[in-house]
Amino acid sequence: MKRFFYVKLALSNIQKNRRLYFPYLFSCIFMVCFFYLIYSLGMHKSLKANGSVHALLSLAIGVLHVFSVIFLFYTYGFLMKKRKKEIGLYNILGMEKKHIAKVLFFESLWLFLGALVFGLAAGLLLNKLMYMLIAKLLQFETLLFYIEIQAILNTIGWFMGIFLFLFLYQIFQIHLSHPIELLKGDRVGEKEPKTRWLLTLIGFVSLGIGYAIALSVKSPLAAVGLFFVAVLFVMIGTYALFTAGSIAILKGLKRNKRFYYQINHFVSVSGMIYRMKQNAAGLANICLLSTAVLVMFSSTTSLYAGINEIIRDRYPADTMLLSHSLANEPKQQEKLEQLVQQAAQKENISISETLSYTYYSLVAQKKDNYYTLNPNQNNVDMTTVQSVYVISLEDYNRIEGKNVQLEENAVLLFSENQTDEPNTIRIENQIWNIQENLSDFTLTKYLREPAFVSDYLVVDSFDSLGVLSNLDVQLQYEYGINFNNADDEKIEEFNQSLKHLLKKNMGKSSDVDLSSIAGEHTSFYQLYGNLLFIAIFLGMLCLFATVIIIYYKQVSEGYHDRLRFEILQKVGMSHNEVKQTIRSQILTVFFLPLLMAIVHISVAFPIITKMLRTLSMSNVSFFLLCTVLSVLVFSLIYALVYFVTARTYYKIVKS
Amino acid sequence: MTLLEVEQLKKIYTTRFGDRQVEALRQVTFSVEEGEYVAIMGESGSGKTTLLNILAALDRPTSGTVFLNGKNLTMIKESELAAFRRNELGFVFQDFNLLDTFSIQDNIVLPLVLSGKMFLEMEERMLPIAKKLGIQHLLDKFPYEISGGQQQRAAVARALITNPKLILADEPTGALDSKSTNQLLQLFSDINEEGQTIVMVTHSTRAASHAKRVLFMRDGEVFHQLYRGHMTVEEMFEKISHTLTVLLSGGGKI
Repeated sequence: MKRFFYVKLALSNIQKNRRLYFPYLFSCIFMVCFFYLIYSLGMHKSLKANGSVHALLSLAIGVLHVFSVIFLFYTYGFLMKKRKKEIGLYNILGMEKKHIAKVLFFESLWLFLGALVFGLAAGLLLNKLMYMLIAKLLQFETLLFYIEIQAILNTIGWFMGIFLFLFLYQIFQIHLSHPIELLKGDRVGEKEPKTRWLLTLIGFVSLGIGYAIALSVKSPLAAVGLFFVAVLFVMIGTYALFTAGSIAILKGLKRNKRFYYQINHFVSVSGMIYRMKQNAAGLANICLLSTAVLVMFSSTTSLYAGINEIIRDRYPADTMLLSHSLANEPKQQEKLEQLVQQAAQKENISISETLSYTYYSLVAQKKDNYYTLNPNQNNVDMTTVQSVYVISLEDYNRIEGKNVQLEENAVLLFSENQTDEPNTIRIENQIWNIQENLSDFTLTKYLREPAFVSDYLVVDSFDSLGVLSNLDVQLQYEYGINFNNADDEKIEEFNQSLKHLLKKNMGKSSDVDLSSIAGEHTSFYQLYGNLLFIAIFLGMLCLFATVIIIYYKQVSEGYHDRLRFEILQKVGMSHNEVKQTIRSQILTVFFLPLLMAIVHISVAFPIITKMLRTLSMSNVSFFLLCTVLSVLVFSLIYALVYFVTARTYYKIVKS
Repeated sequence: MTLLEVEQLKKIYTTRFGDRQVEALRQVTFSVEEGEYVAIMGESGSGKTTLLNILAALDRPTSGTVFLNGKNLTMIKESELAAFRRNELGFVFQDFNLLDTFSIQDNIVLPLVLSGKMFLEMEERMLPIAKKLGIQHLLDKFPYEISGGQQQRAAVARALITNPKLILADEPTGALDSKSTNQLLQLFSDINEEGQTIVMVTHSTRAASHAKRVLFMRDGEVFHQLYRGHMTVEEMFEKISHTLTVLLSGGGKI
């Protein structure tokens, strides 16, 4: 009988506090469901076999472990603050702390069971859907569906651990406190926050540094490294500005008496100071989570949707032949062309165009039109490292259909990101005059390293490059073939028979290497599909966290504002005026993070564009479109969440 | 001149599910002259608070009228109520009702800000009042930093700053210690001496003994009244105590 009393009391507590508990329970269910789904995917036999997919899923599982702990503790904190009064009352009514512990234990148990049952049920229901989604994204045929018992057990184990910790944490808190303190709960007299100039300064400076990095990066390879540095600075800046900067600004407004003592500003400014004090960290969290969602969604969707373009970018020709030994052997080159035609005839595939050229590919550090070759990787500024391709005038004239003559000791230059037009150029200790700075260059499509910016030099003859003979650089020959509407399968057949012919006719020592677009689609879909999947998954997680944080913020704001609302009305503010000032404050508080997130992503746009270049995504306008769409969709969801939760808020304030 | 005229006031509350009606005010009629200091006494449930809420235009009567300075309170439009309350009435509450997000100065000038006054004017009006109430050194403090008595004086300052026709006080001494209570009652007497009309609801005999007239309420009706005349506070105190004893022991006429 007595035991049932606690069990029932716990259950009725949850029901009575449903405004607080149901969202918490809902987030627990959500976390359990997600946890199980990702775990079962991570343990799936066919996905385990694929290295890159498995690695990314493992990463997601790791993130999920950390996230679930932080998130559940965070939301539980909200809940506990609101319930302190009730627990204090139990204590005063004569319940000992061990009895309260008992009630709390059963509450935790109920919540745990609820989260587990509903979460796993939802997980199992969505399991099949999840398999279909990932199979679709990765362009797998189908994914064998089976229920992974181990995933269920691991989920149960992990959440049992979290709930146990939460329970112990509560007990610890209750043990420390006195009943009177518990009764007062969240209404401990609040001091007006002080202006923290140093932190404000740190905020502005680190946000400035972060933004400056994001905006100034030129080389794609440097972008990858610097991005995380920039992110770190922006994170610090965001937290500092939300906590200290906002209050510094508001207090500045307050000091301006003519501004402050006006109906519209008076209540809002002083109210905002307190709101920001209580909510700064939460709002900074919302801001950063939103930014993360936007960055992930925009970049992965643009990668996934632009997959064909990316592949074309990386494989300018359907099939590409590469050789060092053929570079100086015109006879052998002719023989190779014949073999290609032969293979095409045999496989009945029609060649639309071919392109051949010989070139040097160099990695150099460029400074004031002075190239230093083979820079020492360790102590070099990566932003100045780039590729230099040297081709012959003969190939240039043939490919471009021109008839350019070069003067003595002169070259043509095409530079990908140079605005000035230099007159001379120097490689190591050899100097050339630049006869012309070219404005376009067909071979940029073929000769490029996505991570680097490239320069192209056209020289009269490779013999004049005395400087290179001392170095260990080899001339290369490339032969590109494009077909008339051929599918991957057809191209693959051609490739096989060409390989066969090459082996038979070019001798064993032949170093001709064949690379082809055929088969690449699958691997690209697997990589980018997986990235998109992870982004969707992490994005949903962040979005959900954002929603829950907004909800709890609204609820706790509501309880705080209720008293203020009453007093203002008694002192002579009309109902509508009160409603208006409160609405404007709430709107500011909740849309500030979104606004800031949009500013963040706008500034991050250039650096992300450069990072995407290392993944062969160079269509900036398409990425812009994806970003704008992501921002629009996200803002819409955000606004929707706001309006739904705002209703709860008004209900609390009015009651 | 009659400042406040209450006639045949009746208020019936319907319980939440509408199955039971509670008559909070049965039939209340009285009037207050300009410059008067009236205390309304009564037990819990006698209808004091309902009456005060109606006087404050926070609630509307079921029937009856309230005239303040010749204006019918029950006929004022909803949109003008807030401004009316701000300009014509000053409130002092039991639990002070200061906003903890404002400094004492800002709390005091709040009604003026709501009326759209310039800051210079606010300062001009606030400083003498703050000085008179002895809180001029507390202006930059926040409510939680000062004592209850000081908070209540700040609340009085807030009530006075608009030069209201009438001050309505709801158990103003309810949350104060005896020293602060005496100070506050002295303050009320002083501002009344200067011509301020005050209506105070209380069930403290001490508080009521400072008033010039005491109305006794029971079961939603004004039951009895006492004039102070030339009595001292102590004599008034005894008279009220005596009256209460008789009233409570169920006596009819006194």
